[in-house]
Amino acid sequence: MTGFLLRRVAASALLLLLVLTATFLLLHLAPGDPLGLLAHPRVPPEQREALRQLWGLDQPLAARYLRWLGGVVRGDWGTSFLFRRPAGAVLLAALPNTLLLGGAALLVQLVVAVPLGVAAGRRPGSPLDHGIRVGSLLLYSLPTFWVGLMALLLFAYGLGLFPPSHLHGVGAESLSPGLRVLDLLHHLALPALVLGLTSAGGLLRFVRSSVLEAMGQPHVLAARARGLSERRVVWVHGLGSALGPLLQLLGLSLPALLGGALVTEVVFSWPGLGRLAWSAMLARDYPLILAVTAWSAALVLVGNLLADLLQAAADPRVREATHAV
Amino acid sequence: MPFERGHGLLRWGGAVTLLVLLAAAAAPWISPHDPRQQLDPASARHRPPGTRLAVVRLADGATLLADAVERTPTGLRVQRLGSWRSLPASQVLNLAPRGVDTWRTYPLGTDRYGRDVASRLLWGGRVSLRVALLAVALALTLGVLIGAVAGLGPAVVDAVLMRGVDALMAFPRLFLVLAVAALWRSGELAAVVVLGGTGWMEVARLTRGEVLRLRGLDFVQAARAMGAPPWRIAFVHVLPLAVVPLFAHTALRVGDTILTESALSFLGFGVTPPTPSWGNLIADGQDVLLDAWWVAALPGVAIAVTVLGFALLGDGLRAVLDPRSR
Repeated sequence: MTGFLLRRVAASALLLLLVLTATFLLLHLAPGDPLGLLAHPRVPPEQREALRQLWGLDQPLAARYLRWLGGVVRGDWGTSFLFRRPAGAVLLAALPNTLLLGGAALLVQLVVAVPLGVAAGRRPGSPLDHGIRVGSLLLYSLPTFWVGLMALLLFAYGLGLFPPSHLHGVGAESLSPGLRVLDLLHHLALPALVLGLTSAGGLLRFVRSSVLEAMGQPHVLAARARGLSERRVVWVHGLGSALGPLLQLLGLSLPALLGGALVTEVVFSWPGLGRLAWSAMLARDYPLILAVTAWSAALVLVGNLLADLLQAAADPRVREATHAV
Repeated sequence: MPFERGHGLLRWGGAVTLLVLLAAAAAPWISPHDPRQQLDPASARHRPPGTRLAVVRLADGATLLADAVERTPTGLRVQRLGSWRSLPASQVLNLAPRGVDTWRTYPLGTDRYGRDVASRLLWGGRVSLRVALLAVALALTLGVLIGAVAGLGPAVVDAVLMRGVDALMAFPRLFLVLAVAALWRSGELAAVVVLGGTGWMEVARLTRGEVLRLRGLDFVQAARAMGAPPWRIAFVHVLPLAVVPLFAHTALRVGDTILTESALSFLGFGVTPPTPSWGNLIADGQDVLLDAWWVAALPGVAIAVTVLGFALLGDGLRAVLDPRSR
């Protein structure tokens, strides 16, 4: 198990380095430079030059890269041009909010997809199955940001059931801790539902087909023959064998979930990584863009690693038959 | 039974996508109005779907859009911006016995500049579909080439390419697309390049897998034994068969690319105004959600219907072409 863990961590670290390097090159080879956007046209040339030197933009690409990478290794992401604060600090302030939104959305996904997928997979070809299949395709087809806007229109502005944006309402600082949590959940509900529902389609289809497949397998037939209750047969023996691939699928769907989180955060003014990335890109804030993209990739890799570990814990065959990366 | 289901999906998906593609192709002929025309924006702005306005042409060249007109002995009474006013007959060019001779209908309402939403939807769909189709074509080309090189080339090349694919797939695609679009360029062509350049990994993986499977088969061994050169084995024997599983994937890919393009354009990169695309039409409507819900709502419906059509088509193709997938 330790060897497996070490190999996976090493492979992930290597992938992360690749991603970081690619992003760095992508940004620093892009035409134009951030000074054009951030410095006023009337800033005199000598000051402009001073700024370039301060930000290290006057050095050759390789030197810039090494300096940046050296900083990253020490946890220093440079100073955000936009916020004039360390990019790492700006980012760490936004990270928990994205984890909260993503985690809640994942929960919504599971709560929707697992029962419906099981129900559809148990009776293939039934009207219920057809309805759920079309429903899952429809969920996949809806643009997340649009569903967000429509949810705002209906449930926030129209019916007034949920607050339209941000983490907390005005004056939340004066609330008691318990009420503050409730206020946060109230603000979280709508974005989490939107993100969770629009990304549940793939999972739903997966659960359906795994249950369908498992129900015809010998171990399920054997469980049924032993006279176990139907509920136990389906949920323990049928769904059980799908657990490993399910975890893997969740890991693989993380990039899409983060992408969905980005637009959801923008629509709901949710102060997370995605919204930060968006403002950083609008302002050409190199250090912050690099930090945010690197962290989002790292989140995906850590998520995949976790999924792999859980899978290995659940299924000894995975542990034995590993190949690097 | 599964065969039948595949055909049902194929029929529905095919019908929807065909309809959408035809509507987009025919936009210049079937659009009710010019998508960019701002006719009397003060009066026409934020009109709900189905609004019909009277077109009053004035002698000084201006055109007014009126909620109602009434013929009077001396000229025309016009209701515009909430109040009535009288115009002498000499000032109105298109006077008719019952008021004016021209009316203008906005089947899906207007936006904040009084532009026709239906026309913008059709023209925007043209742009969104064009970008998605071209981007998918680019992704397919790149993916098939890279997948073929990985599958047919030496093991080292294969390993390097596949690790690269892993790295790119671990990346949240929207972040990557946004970073490139934001820092390099926006616009239609840039959107095609960005979306195509970040959408080939799955294609490469599928192609490689299929190539590896095929190249172990007897007929390829036989061709090799008969002394066929490597390029001939690649292009004549392996690749034509290796692309078959890509048909279904391509349909799904188009839907996926439409979704990503709309998100990109919604965020202000990708296709930018004044060129309409479904994504930036929704962005337009975001600011006026409470005054004119239809501006943001309708392009979203168009996206959903189109993506659903391509998804059904992809599912149907998979069911029909690959009997193994129940």
